[in-house]
Amino acid sequence: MNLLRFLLRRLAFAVFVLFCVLTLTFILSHLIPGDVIQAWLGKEAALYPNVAKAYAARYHLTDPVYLQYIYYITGMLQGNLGISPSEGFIPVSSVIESTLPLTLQIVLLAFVMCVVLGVGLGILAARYHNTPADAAIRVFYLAGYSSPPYFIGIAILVVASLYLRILPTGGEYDAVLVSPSTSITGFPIFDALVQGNFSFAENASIHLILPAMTLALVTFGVITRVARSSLLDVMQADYIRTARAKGLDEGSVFYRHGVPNAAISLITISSLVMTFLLTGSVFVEFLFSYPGMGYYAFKALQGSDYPGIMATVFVFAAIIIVTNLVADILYAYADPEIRLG
Amino acid sequence: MAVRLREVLSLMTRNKQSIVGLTIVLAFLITAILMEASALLNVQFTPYPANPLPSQASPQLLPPSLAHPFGTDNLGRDVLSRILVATPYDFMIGFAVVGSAVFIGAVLGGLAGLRGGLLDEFLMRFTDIFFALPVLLIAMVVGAILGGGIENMSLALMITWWPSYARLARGESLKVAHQNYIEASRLSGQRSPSILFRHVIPNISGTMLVYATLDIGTVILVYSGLTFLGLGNHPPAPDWGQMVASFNGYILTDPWLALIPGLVISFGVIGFSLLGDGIKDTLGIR
Amino acid sequence: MAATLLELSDFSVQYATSRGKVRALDSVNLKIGKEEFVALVGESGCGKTTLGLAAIGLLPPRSATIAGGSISYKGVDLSKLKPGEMQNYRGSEVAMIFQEPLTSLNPLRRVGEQIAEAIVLRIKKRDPTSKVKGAPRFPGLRWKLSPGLKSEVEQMLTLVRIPDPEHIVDRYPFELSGGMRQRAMIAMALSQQPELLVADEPTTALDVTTQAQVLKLMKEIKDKLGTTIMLVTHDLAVASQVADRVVVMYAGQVVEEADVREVFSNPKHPYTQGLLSCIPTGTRDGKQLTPIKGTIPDLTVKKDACLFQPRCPYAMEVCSKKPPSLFEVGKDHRAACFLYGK
Repeated sequence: MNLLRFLLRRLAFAVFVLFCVLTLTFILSHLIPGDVIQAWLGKEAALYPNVAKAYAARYHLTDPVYLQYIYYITGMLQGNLGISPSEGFIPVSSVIESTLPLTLQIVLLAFVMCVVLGVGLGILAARYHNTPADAAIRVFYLAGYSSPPYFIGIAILVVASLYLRILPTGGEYDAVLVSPSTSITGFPIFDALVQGNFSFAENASIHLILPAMTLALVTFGVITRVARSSLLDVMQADYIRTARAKGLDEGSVFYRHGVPNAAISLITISSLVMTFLLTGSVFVEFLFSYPGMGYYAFKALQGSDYPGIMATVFVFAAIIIVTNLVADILYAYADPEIRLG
Repeated sequence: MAVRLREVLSLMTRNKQSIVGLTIVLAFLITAILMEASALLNVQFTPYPANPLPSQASPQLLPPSLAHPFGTDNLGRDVLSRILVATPYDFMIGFAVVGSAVFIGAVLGGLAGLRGGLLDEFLMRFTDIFFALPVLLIAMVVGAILGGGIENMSLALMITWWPSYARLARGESLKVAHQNYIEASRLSGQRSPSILFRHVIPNISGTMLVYATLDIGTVILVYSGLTFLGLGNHPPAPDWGQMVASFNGYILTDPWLALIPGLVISFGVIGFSLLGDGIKDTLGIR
Repeated sequence: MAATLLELSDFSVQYATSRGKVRALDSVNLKIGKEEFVALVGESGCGKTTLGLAAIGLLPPRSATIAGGSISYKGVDLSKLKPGEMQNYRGSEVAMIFQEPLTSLNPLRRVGEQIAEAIVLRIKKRDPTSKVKGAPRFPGLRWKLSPGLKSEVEQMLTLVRIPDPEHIVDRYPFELSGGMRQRAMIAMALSQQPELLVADEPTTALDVTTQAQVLKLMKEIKDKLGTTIMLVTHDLAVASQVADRVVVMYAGQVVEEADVREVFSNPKHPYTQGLLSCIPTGTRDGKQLTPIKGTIPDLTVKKDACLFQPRCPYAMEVCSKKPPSLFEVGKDHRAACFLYGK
């Protein structure tokens, strides 16, 4: 039952942090210099004073600050994030609704690529450590995480699209195809699969590859580094010596006793990985013209769209907090000392 | 184990990796100092002016050649010169941000580890919140509010960068705080701030320096991201990331324009990564 | 004497360190016979652990080299074994238990699974085609032991006198006490029915009561199963409780070898005598403990002399001229000292 208490505490904390993030965005939004209404509505506000007044009334922009705060929080929790000047004044929540799944598609694919690449190379580097192979892997991931994501993206674009001509240079899907009509899961690719629209699903998936690969190349280094060093540490442990003393072959010693014990330390960096992936998505989506939330954040920034900026920051933070929580749960399950108290 | 500052400085040259890293870092550093000097003294150290008048400009969009090692951009400006001029900002910001983060973090974290109790709890929760917020996004928001420019971005980064150092300092400080000489100092009447600066900080600086070295590269990376998004120096002042962004449209026709500044950024960061990793290896820290 | 199981002949081992090559074992000659309970006694750094590791082929491959002589098990030179043969040898012929049972057991695996792993190894080694179900393919998942395997594990646990074996099978190492962990390690070591069990300081991390219990268990094992036991320890008292024969080591060399009673009633080598006078006897006879003066020699330097000479109260001229060999000083009693030979 210690486990339950532990998890409840983590959950409570996650909610608390989310709340703090909300408050922070509220404070920040009220630090915007100049007329609040103008800031939130964009420059057109001056041209349509009646609309501006109605808007101000609706969003309580003229009420005292503490009231605004309450409306803000309740509004946020109900999914009311304001309207977005940079997207033609449609509700921010609907923008998020259409762009978030796209970003998640890339991020999840990148996460899988990252883990496979990172863990695989980490294991190799540990197995052959202090050999040229280890050094080569090190150079590879060093170059990866030292390079800005947009640089890697550009390099990949140049190589893949110009010289190899096999993968598309951008966009979500080729314009000639029809996107799924109804939205069931919210994810276009899955919707297409469910509706039997395989050509769309396939095409959209192909468009995911380059952006996801770019993200993965920038991020896998963190995983490789941790995997390698924790594996090396684990292999020095006493119980590894015991496993050898039993007469277990080196391969089994490594994969049955070394790797699983090292894997636990990977759980702790998963939220770091997610942070890298999310922030990287801003650049990658811009480069590949992929209409996800990262691209929206970028456009919002360029267009001084404060509701948009706040909302994207909040959603990103929420994803990271949730990832943290999931990681905590996984860790508690994996470590018997926590699980059994 | 608390590592002393002086030892670390000599450790930077102990293995091949860190020597290569140090060389790269020094090359950038010297360039930055030279460029800053040239601005202050109003002397031009670059082969061509970074912001030439149209009459002074070279032909546009030249590929790399002997005359223009990095080529020229769409306005006929020599890319190499622009990259050089941007160095003091794009490179030194790493030092500025990490320096302040180390200082703030060391003081707050060191004190928390030393005193424990409520201060410690409060610090831990506070930094926990910060960890949920990606630095880039906060900087974006601050940039949106305050506008871009290197001062604003430095401020934004400094505000968000210190939590991990506070955590690190707290951890190290906890290890040190139980040592006997700390107890002795307390018993002889020394107050916490004095203990902090005289005993704790010198002992934790070594470890913090190792992490700081690796981190400077990260700041450079993040800042280049911010300039890419348009939050850096206002044009026509050059910034590496901003250069990459503005040449995005030329990828297919003149790829070097976007690739070269990116390479420069990567190079700078790799230098710090090698240096930091080299130091880590020498000290045997994980 | 019974048939020889393990034989060391002029065996020398060196470690490569930053200070130079350390001579951990220097021309050691030793025979261990079947069903003997031999105690290797000496202070830290005397080479006893190295000897133990050598017997099971676990000398660290990167730093340790065999600098001379040979170590043979049932006549087979261990250094000539190929990796596959060595894996077969380990566990099934010679097993080893270590000092710290908490870190020597995998903290993330249940005790039953770890013992079962050893049992499966036994089955597979005897019959490589056996279809017995081993650990799950994906190493992180829980291994649900088949009923047959589970009962074998419980049998082993009962053998080492662990109470309530059915529940211990599902426990993790951190849930057991130190004494029970050590017993579990012994159970795991015996699962493959080895002829020789090397125990490296198995009781050092335990409290005195538990220590006595574990030692008693080890003696039982020797008596009931006929296992030959080589106990490595720095504690002479421990040796006196269980061993048949005691081998005293100093600075990588064997300095005295005798029946346990002989060593305690009639120690011949000055070092052994010094060790015995260091043991607190627990009686209030007012005698002071006399430590041996001096420190162990620097093992990076090869000396053509008796290594104990600088600390020896009986040192003679010949002691600094050449190293003494093991002289016979009584029935099955040898000592490496020029007091007893030339």
